[in-house]
Amino acid sequence: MILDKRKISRTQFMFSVACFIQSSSLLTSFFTSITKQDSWIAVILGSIVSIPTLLIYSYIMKKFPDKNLIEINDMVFGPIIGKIFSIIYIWFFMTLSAINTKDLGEFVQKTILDNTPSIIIVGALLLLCSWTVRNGIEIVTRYSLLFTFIATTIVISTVFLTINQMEMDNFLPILQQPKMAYVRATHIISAIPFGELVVILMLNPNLDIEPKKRIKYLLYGFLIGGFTLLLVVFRDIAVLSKTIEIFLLPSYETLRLISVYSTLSRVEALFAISLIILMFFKISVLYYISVMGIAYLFKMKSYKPLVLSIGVIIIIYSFIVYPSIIAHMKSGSETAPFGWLVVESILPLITAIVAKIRKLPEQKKGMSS
Amino acid sequence: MLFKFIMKKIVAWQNLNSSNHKIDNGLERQISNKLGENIEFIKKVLGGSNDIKIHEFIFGEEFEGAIIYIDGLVNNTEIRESILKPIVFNKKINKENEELSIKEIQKSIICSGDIKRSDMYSVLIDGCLAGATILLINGFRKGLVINTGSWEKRAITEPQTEPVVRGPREGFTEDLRTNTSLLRRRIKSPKFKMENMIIGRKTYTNICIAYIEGLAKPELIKTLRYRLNNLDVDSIIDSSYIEEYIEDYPLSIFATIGYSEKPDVVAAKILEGRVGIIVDGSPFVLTAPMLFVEGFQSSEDYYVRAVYASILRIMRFFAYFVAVYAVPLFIALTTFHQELLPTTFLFSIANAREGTPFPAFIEGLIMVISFEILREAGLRLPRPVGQAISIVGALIMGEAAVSAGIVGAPMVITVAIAAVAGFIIPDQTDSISILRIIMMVLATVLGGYGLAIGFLAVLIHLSILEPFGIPYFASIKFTRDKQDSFTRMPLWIMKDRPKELSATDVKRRDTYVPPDNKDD
Amino acid sequence: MRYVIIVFIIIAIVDLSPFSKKDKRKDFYITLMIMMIALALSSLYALDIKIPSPVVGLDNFIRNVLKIAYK
Repeated sequence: MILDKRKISRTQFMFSVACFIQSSSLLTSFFTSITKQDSWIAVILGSIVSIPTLLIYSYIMKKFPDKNLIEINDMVFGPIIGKIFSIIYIWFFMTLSAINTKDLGEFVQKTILDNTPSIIIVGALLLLCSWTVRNGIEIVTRYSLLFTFIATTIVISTVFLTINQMEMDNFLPILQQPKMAYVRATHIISAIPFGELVVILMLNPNLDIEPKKRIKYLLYGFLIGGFTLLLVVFRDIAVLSKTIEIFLLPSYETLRLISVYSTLSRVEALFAISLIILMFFKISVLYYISVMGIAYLFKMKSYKPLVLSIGVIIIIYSFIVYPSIIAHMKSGSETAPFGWLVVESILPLITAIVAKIRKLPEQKKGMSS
Repeated sequence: MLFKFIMKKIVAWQNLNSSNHKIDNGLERQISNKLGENIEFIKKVLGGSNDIKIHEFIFGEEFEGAIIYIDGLVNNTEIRESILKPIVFNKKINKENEELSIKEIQKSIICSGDIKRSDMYSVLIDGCLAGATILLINGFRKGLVINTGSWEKRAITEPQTEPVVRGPREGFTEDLRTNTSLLRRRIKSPKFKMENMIIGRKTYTNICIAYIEGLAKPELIKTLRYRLNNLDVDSIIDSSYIEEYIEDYPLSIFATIGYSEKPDVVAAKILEGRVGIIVDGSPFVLTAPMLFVEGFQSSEDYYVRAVYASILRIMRFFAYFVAVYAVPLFIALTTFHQELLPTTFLFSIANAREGTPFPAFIEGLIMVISFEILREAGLRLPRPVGQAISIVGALIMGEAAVSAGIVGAPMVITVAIAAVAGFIIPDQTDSISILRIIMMVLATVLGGYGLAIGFLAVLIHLSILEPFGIPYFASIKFTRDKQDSFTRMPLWIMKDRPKELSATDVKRRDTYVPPDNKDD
Repeated sequence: MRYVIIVFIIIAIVDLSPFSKKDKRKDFYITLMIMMIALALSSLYALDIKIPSPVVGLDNFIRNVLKIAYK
């Protein structure tokens, strides 16, 4: 039973991964507030720490090349425990959609549209996403290359534009933070942008790539995304120095400082453009995955009737998910990494181990009694 | 998808209402062997139209014959020289064997290359209406349909819609034969096929599908053939009728079937694996499917130097962007994001808008709509008057509106820039006009955020379109012919045809002698 | 509140009308269930009734019961 038969190509997959990570690279304050001018070390450490998780994902993808996470759970843990795990995952996906929707809605309301009620901002975006989601995964991921290209171009060009504000002294002193800060920042990075890649397990049956080569494209995408994240953090530290810890949106503040002979200024609009585009992509993917998860959970014949209702749930959820931005920041940098770690690394690890022990999937269906 | 759903409903409902009632006009019957009866019948069917000529004559000893034709559709000299003279002056005809004799007339007496023999009234009358001459002879149960069609037609001239500086200047005419010959002269391959069909219960319009076998996708040809064969309508006046009936997305603002008036353009598209549809009576030949980039490709791109052509391409994409977004962006900047404008510029805008009574959206709407009206007026009026209209519109009304303080000068400038940019891409003019107004509304409601939403919505709409199963906006994915989308690479680099369009014969060129490197 | 009703009438027309012909009982009930949840949530939100957030609950659980939060 495959609800969405459209396939996504290897380029689309690779850049979807990249785009997914880049979309988080714009909101870096969770860890820049902890490690300050050493955040770039945290990014590198976080990427290295995430690689084993990615290997677990690719192991599962290789073992079950045409099954998605919900079906894998059913196969590996049996119908009852599998359903519980699936519900946890679906809740996680919907929470991520809600949080990202909230991030975007708040950003737009604060910086672009002061007087517009946030339900209109979020509603317009989710309406657009629901149209995309109804048309399937191929449409959702089709523009990943274009979006990655736009975002990377903006990042690279802003690096050149801020070059006159950069000072290498801003990186000093290196490695002077308490040791616990590095551990914590690494943990946050591996959980919040990189660990969210668990969503690719839901796209598994739609990939038009040989199971063995999926790891390659996953890693390429991861590298592109990770490199952009590193570049963004470098740029922000070089421009903002230690003050990076006090800003909610360090990149936005960096771009505000751009002024080349006072002719080229006010470039923060670029940040807004790339944020809207990348967030649209990320929310579409998460939204699609939430819908698919529920449709597979109940073994429906079509996922399309669910789309609009789940969109409404995501909107309402995004309003109630955190009572305030302080609570959001606190949760993101203090507690959420632990919760997310369970869903993103430990559950897939258990899945992989149980599948290995139970020797799933059986190689030939005729042989198994 | 909602549109698709509604469309399906509408189509199903319409098909339900129009139960299959084919008009039985009594023509599906055999002719009699009495000449008098036959002539009576044909007179009854064709009525008293004064362009129907029935000429009865006697030949041999006691044979009575008649030729029937429509005056103006036939070549009188040919009738005289190749039908009447040979029959009347031939003494061999005898009455012994009917079958042999009519065959003999067809084969050895009449000097014409295109003769059909039939005993059905329908065939005879259809042939007559299409410009053939009918020959009936008393005592025979069969009649001959001799093609003598020849009528006044426009000469091949340079097309008005697609002028070029460099490149062929021939244009299609209204005549189907001329058009097919123009194409055949460019593609001499035996695999270049043209299939004829007749559509229209009342107009009996000749339609021709032209493609290269083994190059166009078989599914594409099959789909087109299926749709055309099952098209039962009253009339086909122009190729745009066909376009509207067979296109995949009739409600989309983007055209998915292209058209051209130039045989070199159509030939090049057929050589890329598309299918041409030639309709009698229309100088515009359709090409299916049309992809988004085609609107930005002009025939001259391939006739000028590659680097320059690439720059032109990029400029066209930029112009499209300007044409759609200039006015909405101006509205968004002046109503929501004044802080993004340089201060001096902001002051001058504020100065200009000081006396204007309307919000930016209304101002923009007034200008855009009056521009559309002026454009339409300039097109429809006879040419000399049209120019006067543009002068009145552009100079006097624009100037007067600014000095009277109804609209601000910056808005007039923005609209003018957008309008001029839109003229660069003639194929997309309609989509530009619609998108511009949608974006203006979005910019008024949600500012820059609305523009981003609108941009994404257009992207999604484009990615949903798949005319005849081929992605409409695929070039952004860089799978379809990456050499010929945003840039036009030199011809020797474009080794392969667009992969999604062509079926098997993918190679465009095999060998090529690169220039010697003199430095070695 | 009336906006909620209007929105849900539109959603019902779009999503439930395809079920009128095809015989997919199960899909219909599940869609209806999810739609009811969405309707309930949005009504509560529109009526300004506070809905507890599961994420905040999870935060409190990690912070106060498991006691493994960074400080």
